[in-house]
Amino acid sequence: MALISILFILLLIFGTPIVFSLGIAASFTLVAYDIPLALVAQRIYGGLDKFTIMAIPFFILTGIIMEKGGIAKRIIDLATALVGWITGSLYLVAVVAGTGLAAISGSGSADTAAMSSMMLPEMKKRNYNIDFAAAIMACSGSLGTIIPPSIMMVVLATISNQSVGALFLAGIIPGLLCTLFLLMSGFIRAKTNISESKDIHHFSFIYLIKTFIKAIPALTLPVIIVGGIVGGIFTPTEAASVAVIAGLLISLFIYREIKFKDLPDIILKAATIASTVMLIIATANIFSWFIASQQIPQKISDFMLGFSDSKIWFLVNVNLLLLLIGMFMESISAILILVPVLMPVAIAFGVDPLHFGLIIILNLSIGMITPPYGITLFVASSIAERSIIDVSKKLMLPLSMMLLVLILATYFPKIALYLPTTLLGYK
Amino acid sequence: MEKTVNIIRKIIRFLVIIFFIYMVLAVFYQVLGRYIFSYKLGAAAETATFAQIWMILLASGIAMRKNMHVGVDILLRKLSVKNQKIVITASTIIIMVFLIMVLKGSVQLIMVGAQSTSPAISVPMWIPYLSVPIGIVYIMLELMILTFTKLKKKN
Repeated sequence: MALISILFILLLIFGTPIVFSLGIAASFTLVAYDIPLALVAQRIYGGLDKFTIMAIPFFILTGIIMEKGGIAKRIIDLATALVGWITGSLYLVAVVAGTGLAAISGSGSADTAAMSSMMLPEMKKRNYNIDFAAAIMACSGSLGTIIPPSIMMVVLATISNQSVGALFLAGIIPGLLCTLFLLMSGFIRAKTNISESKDIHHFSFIYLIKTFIKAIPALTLPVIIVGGIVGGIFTPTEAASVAVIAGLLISLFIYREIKFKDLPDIILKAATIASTVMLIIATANIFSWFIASQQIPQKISDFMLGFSDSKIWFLVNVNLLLLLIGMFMESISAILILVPVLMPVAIAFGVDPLHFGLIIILNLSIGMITPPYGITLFVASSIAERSIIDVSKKLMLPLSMMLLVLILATYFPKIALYLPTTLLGYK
Repeated sequence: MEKTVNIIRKIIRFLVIIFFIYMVLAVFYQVLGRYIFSYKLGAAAETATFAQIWMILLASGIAMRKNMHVGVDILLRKLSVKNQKIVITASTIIIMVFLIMVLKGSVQLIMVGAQSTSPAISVPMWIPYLSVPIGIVYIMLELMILTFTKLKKKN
């Protein structure tokens, strides 16, 4: 047991892909307990043999179609018409666009890539502070995993036996709070650095109507996905497949920015990205079984309950732990390793599982922004052609806004639970 | 040798695309089936899930080739080139041992699966189970190629 933990940590810190570190640690232990290898293969197969996780490849495919097929462009244009006339215009446009893209795609990195590549050149031209711009893009991009649909949420809900739809709904209010606070941070930045915000053009109602009409097909996607799930018309997997078909039709026939001959490459790209996420789900399925068989959650909760049985004390500790882990580890791997351990402990402390799930999502979404390993930070910096260190220096203001939402959502469970309770009758 | 690898890669890519398209269409058909033709299609969900398992296991090898399976490599990058090569070799060997274990396990799984069939449309279970050994063998192939390229480079 101790040997296996050491092996796992060694593999992890020396760069062995997480997908294998997990599988190796668990299988070597199982073999030591004389458990047949067929069971290891069975766990891998069983990890993938789930209809709910099919939403993951579909949402990844929708994200790529959104980026390449002109959908992201229409959303960004609409955001420009909506808030482009306010002080600090393009910072605010980034936040609003990030929110719009988040409602279509399920991954933060895809949203950040789409926004950064379309907006950063323009921001450079207009003399915006490019480091702050990249920082706010990284933050707005992370909304992709908080606002439904969200691949991270599909994974979390699946491995902790919760409703994907309920978790999606739980993310809406915290996500919009992030939007609001990030808008404030963009506004504050622009007000305190007047030289950057002198390019304000006036609000134009005709421009707004024009961009809105062009964006209507793109806007049907969030309606299909979120509306369809809330209305009980589809399961999340079905909604995701409808989103793929709708996104394809829009990009092929309305915006005409994708051609049929582009499809094999797009599908292959989505499949490859999906496989990296889902193979981890498969090997983590061996790992979670191993965690449970060793009664690790019980040991941790006994240990922690020994100090205090206060819910808040527990949640503060979890937040600190998750923020720290989020700095170094990719989010979905972190979920697959930590949720089987932490969820039973949270329940022992009397924390609502759905509320706890959302806290984990918020923490690990912030983890996508924080250096040294943060995927949206990495994407935004590299498209901005700035170093991660330079962008990180400007991260303080927008990041503190996200942390504020995390604190609020931790102490007020209602922020997460209000929508699932009223719309889906959760509990 | 290179020619054979390229043919294998082409076949894998083709299969991955076909499985993905099938998944989207089958699930979409299930939605239509429920609302337009108003009958239930357990077959669509079941076959789409089988296609998913095949697609993921085959695409994992493609991801391996593109070095897309993420790890925490901050420490690795700080090592000298020589030590990096030692670590890469050691980690590849351990991964290979793991993959061989899964491979062996999957053969046992198929032997068990030979006797059972799937619940909705009675497909013999060895058909979906076969994805595990085939996917694993392809991952092993790409892992070996990737490791050799990594070891050759950087000198």
